[in-house]
Amino acid sequence: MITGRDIDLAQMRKGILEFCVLARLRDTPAYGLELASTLGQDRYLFSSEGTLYPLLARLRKQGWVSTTWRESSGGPPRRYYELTADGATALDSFTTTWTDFRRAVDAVLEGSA
Amino acid sequence: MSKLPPDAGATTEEPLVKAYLTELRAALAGAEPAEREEVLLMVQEHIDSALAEHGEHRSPGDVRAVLAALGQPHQLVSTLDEPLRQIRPVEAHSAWPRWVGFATLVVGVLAVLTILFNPIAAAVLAVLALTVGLVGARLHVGRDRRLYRIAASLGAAALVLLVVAAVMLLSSGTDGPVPDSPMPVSNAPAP
Repeated sequence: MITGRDIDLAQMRKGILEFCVLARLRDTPAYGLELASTLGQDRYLFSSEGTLYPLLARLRKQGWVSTTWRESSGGPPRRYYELTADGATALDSFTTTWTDFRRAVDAVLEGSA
Repeated sequence: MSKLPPDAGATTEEPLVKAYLTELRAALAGAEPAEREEVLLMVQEHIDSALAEHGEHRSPGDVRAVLAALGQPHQLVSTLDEPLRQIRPVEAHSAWPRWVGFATLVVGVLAVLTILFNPIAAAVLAVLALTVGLVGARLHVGRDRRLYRIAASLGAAALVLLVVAAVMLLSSGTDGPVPDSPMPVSNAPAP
């Protein structure tokens, strides 16, 4: 059953989640499960861990994220996701827009605009 | 994409995992084939890594928990419908041809240069550069906008200079020789 809150969140997440993925990769590469569990912790962002993968596939196709295989201790090798230079540029651009956007929305919500 | 290592996909024989991946494949039927395969591989790797953390003694409950955290296959696919928006540098289409910007800039420069020789022509050019510059700056972005802004600034500067020059001329005009107050002229003989 889809509640009103779910609909609102699904709409709001569009176009934002992929930048949350990029931001999570800004400082250090990460493997899928790692990304999914940190980002999936906040149900406001990811309704489920698996949401991450279509986003990652898109980001990789876009050239904003690249992948490398690394050995893991006691498990199968892991595919690590890494931010590319283009990805970093896109993230910077989003961050600027987001800051202004958030300020504008807050101003309207607080009734000061 | 980097090559898949040979021992990946070790958990695909788990009936629950197999069923989940089959359902996900069906849910991804509308996606581009390459994208579909990539998402399937990524999800499979996720399951492998998550189950590897449980070691050899994983129970069907562990498998179910991993799949539950991943979410229903149709939930995963819902994010695929949205194309990733392209972020382009702020260099959008020009409303006017490029040469108009340069021409406006030239008019602005001419306005400043002609102040000394032909103040009336300078005023006309300055108003032209200012008007077109301001409108152009509103309609353009990036480098083009800068061009129009410079032209408008030159026009404004020329106008200011013209006004200052006019004021100076007028005020120096009032400082000119004041006619002497009329001397009473009288032919009347001095008393």
